[in-house]
Amino acid sequence: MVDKTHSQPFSSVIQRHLRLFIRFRYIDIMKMLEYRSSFIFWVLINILWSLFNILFFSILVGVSGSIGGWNRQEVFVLLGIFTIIDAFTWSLFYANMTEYAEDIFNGRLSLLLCRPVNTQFYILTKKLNPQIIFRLMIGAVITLHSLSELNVSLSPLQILLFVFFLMVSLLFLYSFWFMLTTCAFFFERLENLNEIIPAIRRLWQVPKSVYQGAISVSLASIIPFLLITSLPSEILLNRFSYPVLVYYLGITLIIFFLSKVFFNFAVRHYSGMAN
Amino acid sequence: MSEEPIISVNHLSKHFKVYQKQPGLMGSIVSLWSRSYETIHAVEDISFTIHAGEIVGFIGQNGAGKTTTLKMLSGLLFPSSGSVDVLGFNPWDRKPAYQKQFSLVMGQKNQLWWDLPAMETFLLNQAIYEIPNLEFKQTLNQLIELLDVSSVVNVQVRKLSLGQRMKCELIAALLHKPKVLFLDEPTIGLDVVMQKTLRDFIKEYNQQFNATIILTSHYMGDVKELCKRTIIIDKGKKVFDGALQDIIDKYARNKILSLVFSKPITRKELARFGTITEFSEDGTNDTATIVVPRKESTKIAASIMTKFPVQDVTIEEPPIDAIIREVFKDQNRASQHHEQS
Repeated sequence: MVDKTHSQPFSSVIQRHLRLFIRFRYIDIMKMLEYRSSFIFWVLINILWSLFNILFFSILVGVSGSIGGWNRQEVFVLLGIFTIIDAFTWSLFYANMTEYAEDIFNGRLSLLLCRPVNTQFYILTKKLNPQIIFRLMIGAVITLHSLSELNVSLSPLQILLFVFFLMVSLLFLYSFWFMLTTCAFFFERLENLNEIIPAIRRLWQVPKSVYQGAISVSLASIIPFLLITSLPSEILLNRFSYPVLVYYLGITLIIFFLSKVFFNFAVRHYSGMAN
Repeated sequence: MSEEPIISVNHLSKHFKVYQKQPGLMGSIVSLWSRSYETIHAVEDISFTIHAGEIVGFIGQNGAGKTTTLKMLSGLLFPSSGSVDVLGFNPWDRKPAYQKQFSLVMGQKNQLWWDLPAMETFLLNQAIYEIPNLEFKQTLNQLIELLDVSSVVNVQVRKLSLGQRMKCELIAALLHKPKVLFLDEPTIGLDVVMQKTLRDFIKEYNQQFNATIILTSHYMGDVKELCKRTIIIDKGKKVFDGALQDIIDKYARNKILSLVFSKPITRKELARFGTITEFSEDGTNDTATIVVPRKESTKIAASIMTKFPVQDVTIEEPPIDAIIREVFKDQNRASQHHEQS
């Protein structure tokens, strides 16, 4: 009568979450097709925003010659990577973290917490705006074009390291953002909680060498926001150091672990609204 | 009914700290640096067991602790003290093996994707609960037929009526055939016809799947029709646990006599037998409703029949809502008495 099977094979858990991820993407596409005009409008906004960003940096580098010791093409490699990370910032993190905060405030998180899936996975992957593809393409084109202008030839190791540390940067950003949004469990209302990361993301839109002194130490070492784009860029430009990569990976894993611990702690204090 | 209870709740309590704002603008300003909190005893030392296949009505006024209890049974809230065992699990371990065997339906929260047809939520739940294709199709068809929603499952949820949405919510919650079902005001806001449809469905689901159901509702009709057993909680405490008829026997002090007379009678004459709540003189068939003491109802009915030209008489229990109000009044009186002494 009572099924007390406590654990499933790991492969089965992965498969279940993969199926859920695919089902979410179907839903994204279906929602996009329901509201086609909205989709087209946002695609235009995204393309224009990326183009203005490029124009702004073209003018800036044109006037100063370099930024933080990085020449025009190198800055554009970083800008391309920033655009790729920004695509995830808006289309994945912002969309899902906003909904996560609202679900905490209005008690809808209750329904989610009852489900036999990893709640953090569900919260992170529920929405992925299909327009991400356009920003990713713009970012990739800027990066590849700038690398070709620099006559950089990438080794397989560099490509592997780049892809890996791009994902590490996304994990770092996600973990920090998730912890921040989880604070919503402890406050009656925090309207602007999800505006913090979008507001400070300009910090990693420029090379880390721009920053000096205490700011550099705190933002490149203690909470290494400045490494989010600088480190993957340095890998492509072959100016990275392994100790920094290891340090960044270590810090990211610690923050990811802390985000899980903090979430579990917060859930214990969840009141779920009155009804 | 099996020997082992499916749900065991032992001395369960949940206390919340709630911010108490002082009134007015100054209160808001002061709250910036100084806030006072009050501890709310949402659930206080509740114990009960429920066996497989039971439908138990959970009754209480707003804020009595019904939803809080259901949330603790679902593993959403951690109790301040006490323990819970549902299907052999500690709910707040939040094990997927447990989560696959129960469902929580909240009438005021929806899980359906607003911009898409309900069918998409059903397919999502198939992925979440790992329901094999064949089983999914069979269960879905069965539920669609029971709730008669074949024409709406492919319509955008935002375009459905409240009743249609609630039916689809129930389907989404039941696709994995949960053994335990927590229904928190599933009929809230629905018209009487839809309430009746959902009640019939819940009864049918309980019988077909031998599901154990805890139902909270403000509509006594839901409880009366569905639940043989009722738990009443007031201010977080359990004040009654037993058959609904036992509540009626214990708390209903009166019965209602509905009378039809073949010849005109006077109101004054009838008033000697009880409290008249309705009296109608249309010249042909006068009708009256009187409230009489419960224990003497049969004797009084017999007296009225001998003294008046009675064409028809029915003796009824008062509405269950009124009886439940009596329960709460009784509790209030008891707690006031306790505080004074």
